[in-house]
Amino acid sequence: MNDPLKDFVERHREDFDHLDAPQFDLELMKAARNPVEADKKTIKFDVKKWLVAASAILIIAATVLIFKMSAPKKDQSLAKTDGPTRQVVPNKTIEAEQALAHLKEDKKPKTARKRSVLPKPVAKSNLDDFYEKLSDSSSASNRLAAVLAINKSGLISEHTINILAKTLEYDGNSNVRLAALSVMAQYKNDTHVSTMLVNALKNQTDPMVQLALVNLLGNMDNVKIDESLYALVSNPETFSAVKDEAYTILMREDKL
Amino acid sequence: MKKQLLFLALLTVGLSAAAQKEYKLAKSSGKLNLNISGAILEGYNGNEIIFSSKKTEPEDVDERAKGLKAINSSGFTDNTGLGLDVTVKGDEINVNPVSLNNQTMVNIKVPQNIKVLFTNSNNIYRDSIILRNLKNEIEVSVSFNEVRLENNTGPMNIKTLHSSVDAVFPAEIKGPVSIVSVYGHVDVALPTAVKVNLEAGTNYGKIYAAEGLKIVVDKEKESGAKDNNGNATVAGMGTINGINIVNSARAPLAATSVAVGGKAAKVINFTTRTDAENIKGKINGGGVDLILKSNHDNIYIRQK
Repeated sequence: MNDPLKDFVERHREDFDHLDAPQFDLELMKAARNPVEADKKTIKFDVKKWLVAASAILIIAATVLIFKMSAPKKDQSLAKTDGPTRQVVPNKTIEAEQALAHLKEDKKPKTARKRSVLPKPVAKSNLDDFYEKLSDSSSASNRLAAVLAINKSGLISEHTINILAKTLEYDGNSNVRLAALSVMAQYKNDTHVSTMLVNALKNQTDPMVQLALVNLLGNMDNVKIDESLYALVSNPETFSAVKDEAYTILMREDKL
Repeated sequence: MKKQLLFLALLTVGLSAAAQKEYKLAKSSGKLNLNISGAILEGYNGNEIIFSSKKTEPEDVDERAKGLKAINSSGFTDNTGLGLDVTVKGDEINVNPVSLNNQTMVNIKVPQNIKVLFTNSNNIYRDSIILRNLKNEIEVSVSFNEVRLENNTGPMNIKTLHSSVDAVFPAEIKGPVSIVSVYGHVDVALPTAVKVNLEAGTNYGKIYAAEGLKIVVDKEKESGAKDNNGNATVAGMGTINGINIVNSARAPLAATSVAVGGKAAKVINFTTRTDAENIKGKINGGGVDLILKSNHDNIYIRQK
C-alpha cells in the first residue's frame, strides 16, 4: 500500500533522529497566548449603548408594574393579611387562562360574542377555604354554606366558575347543586359561563337540577340547547316535569 | 282474687312487651343513614340511638321456622327485631329494611350530635317522615314521602320530588336551610324575631307570606343587559311590609298578584312564563340563609 507519510519518514529518517525536543519556554507560551488576550481587549465596551438599553427596560418594567398595581385596588386591601407576594401569582395564571379563553372565542361569530362580565380575581386564601369546604364529602350543609359564601363574597373568577360547574355536575346533594347553579346563573351572560351551563345540561342526571337548567337556559338567547332538549323529550326515563318544560320551550320556539 | 290480680299484672306486662319492640345502639355521634319507608325521628339528650316500633298485635310465630332465620335477596338481615338491618361502618350507621313490603313505622330517638340522612325513592313503600327536636345536620332526599319538620335547628337540606314539606322552626336556627320541592308545596313557620336571608322561588305557584314578618326585598342588581325588545330590568319597589316580585324578561305576558297575609298586594311580574316568581330578601336584617323553592306549587311563609 502506498503510504506517503511512511515514505517521507523513511526518506528523512536521519533528520528525525537528530531532532531534539524543544525546551519548555514559559515566555514563549505567554507570548503565544498574548495575541488572544490582546484581541479580546480590542472589543470596546460601549457604556452609553448599554445604559440606554438598561434604562429602556427599567421604564417598561415600571410602566407594567404601575398598571398592575393600579388595576386591582380591591385585591390589595383583601390581601393585606397574606402579604403582597401571594397575590401576584394567581393573578397571572388566571389572566393567562382568560387570555386563552378569549383566544378560543375569537373563532365564534361576532353576534354571539358577549363581553366578559366576570369581576377580577382576588385573594387566594379566602377562596381556598371555600374550595376546601366544597369538597367536604361528609356534610352537604358545609358544601352548601361554601357555595353561599362564595356567592356573598363576590370572589368569582373563571376558576371559581369551573369549580362551581363541577359541583353542579358531581355533587351528591341536589340542594348544593341548585345553589351552585343559582350562583352561576348570575353570570349567565358571560360566554364561558353559558358554555358551561349548556354542557352541564347535557350531562346532568338529577331531575331537580335538570329542571332548573332547562328553565334557565330555555329563557336565554344565543344558547344552543335544542339537541339536549330533544334528547330529554325522547328519553322515556326523563322526569315528567323536565319533559314538560322541555316540550314547552320547544313548542314556544316552534321547533317541535 | 290474688291469682286474678297476678294474672292481670302478667297480662299487662306481656301485652306492653309485645306492643313495643326496642333496639338500642350505643352511639352518640356520627351519621345515621336511613333507607326505610318512613320514620319518626326525635332528638333527645342521650347516648344511644333507640329504635322502637309499636305493634298492636303480637307477631305470629311460625312454629316450623323455629331455629331458622329469614333470608332474602336484599342482603340485609334483621339484627334489631324490628325488620331492620342496622350496621355501623366507622362513623356511619346504615339502616335498611330487610324486606321492602313488611316495614312498620319506626320511632327513632337520636342523640344531639348525630347527623341524619334519609333517602327514599320508592313510590309504593313510603310513609311520611317526621323529624323533631334535632340539633344537628339533616339531609332528606325523597320522592313521595311527606316531610314534616318540627323544632329542628338545622342546618338542613330537604329535597322532595312529589311530596310537600311542612316545617316549623324554633327561635334559634342554624343555617343554611334549603328546602326544595318539584311538585309539592313548601310551608314554613318562622318565629317573628328570627333573622334570615330569604330566597324563595316558584315557577308555577305563588309565594305567600305573613304580614307580621317584615321582609325587606333586595333590589335586583342591574346586569346592564337589556333584552331584545329593549325592556330594561324591572327593579324592586323597596321596603314595603309585603313582597314585591321582581324578574326581568323579554315580552311581558301577564301580570300576577301575590297575596300577602290577608291583603292582596298587586305586583307586576313580567316574565316569559306567567307565574315564575323569585324573591331575595332579608327578615330582621338578615342572618341565616333560608332557601325555599317549589317548582309547581306554592310557598307559604308563616309567622309562628
